[in-house]
Amino acid sequence: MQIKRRSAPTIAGVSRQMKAFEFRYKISTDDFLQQDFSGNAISEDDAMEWRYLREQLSALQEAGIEKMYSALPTGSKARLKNCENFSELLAA
Amino acid sequence: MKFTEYDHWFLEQAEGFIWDASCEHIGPYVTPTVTPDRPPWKAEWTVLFGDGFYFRVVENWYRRSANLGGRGVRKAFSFHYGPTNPVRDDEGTPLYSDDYQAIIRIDLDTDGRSAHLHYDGDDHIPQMRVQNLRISEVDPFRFIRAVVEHRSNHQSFDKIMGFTVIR
Repeated sequence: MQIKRRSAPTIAGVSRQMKAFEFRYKISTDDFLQQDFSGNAISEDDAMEWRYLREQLSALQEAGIEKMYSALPTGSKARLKNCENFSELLAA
Repeated sequence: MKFTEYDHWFLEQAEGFIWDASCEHIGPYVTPTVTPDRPPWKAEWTVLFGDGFYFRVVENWYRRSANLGGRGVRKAFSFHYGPTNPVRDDEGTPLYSDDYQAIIRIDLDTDGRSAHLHYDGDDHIPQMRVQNLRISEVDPFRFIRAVVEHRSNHQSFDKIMGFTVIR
């Protein structure tokens, strides 16, 4: 038995998969977020997968921000750390 | 749990089964993480048996707050066993269909419905109607072992897993 690997997630790839779900069910991201999945309009499998994609997209975006931040000069980092919203973002 | 711990555990557990040559496997897959050893991650494994039945286990591990150590937490899973829908997705996983309802399906999702069972023709059975089984704590390999036992001796899943559904 060998564990198989899927390709590493990317923002473009994950976004494309989410859009495919939204296209298939003909609803927007906001609608998807507010959809009552108990209505069986969206299968439980697809609802679970879409939510996971959203979590993955959020992690990718955060990782991108952290990468950009680490590449900044020290002075810029210090100025950004004083920015309340940015600190909250990194701590999330 | 950290991703590397999970990855090792999942492989070790998955290697503990011996499958008939006629079984078709999709996976087991463990997705690579966005950032090394940090959530989210996902595991999935589908085994299609030659007699028209299959199981599929999926686990989604989400991030926790950095204040809580940043380890993963299992927020969603789906463990399904039942007849195989011939209509499949691009990878060969049978699509869910009301015409091919699960014999047993154990679900935990983040949609507020919380952990529930689909069992014996009854859908969305909440924890309060299930005795002797903490639904949210069932691990995929306990489920797979129950499937193997069920296929071997045809005992019902409630007997094998020791739970009772209050009607």
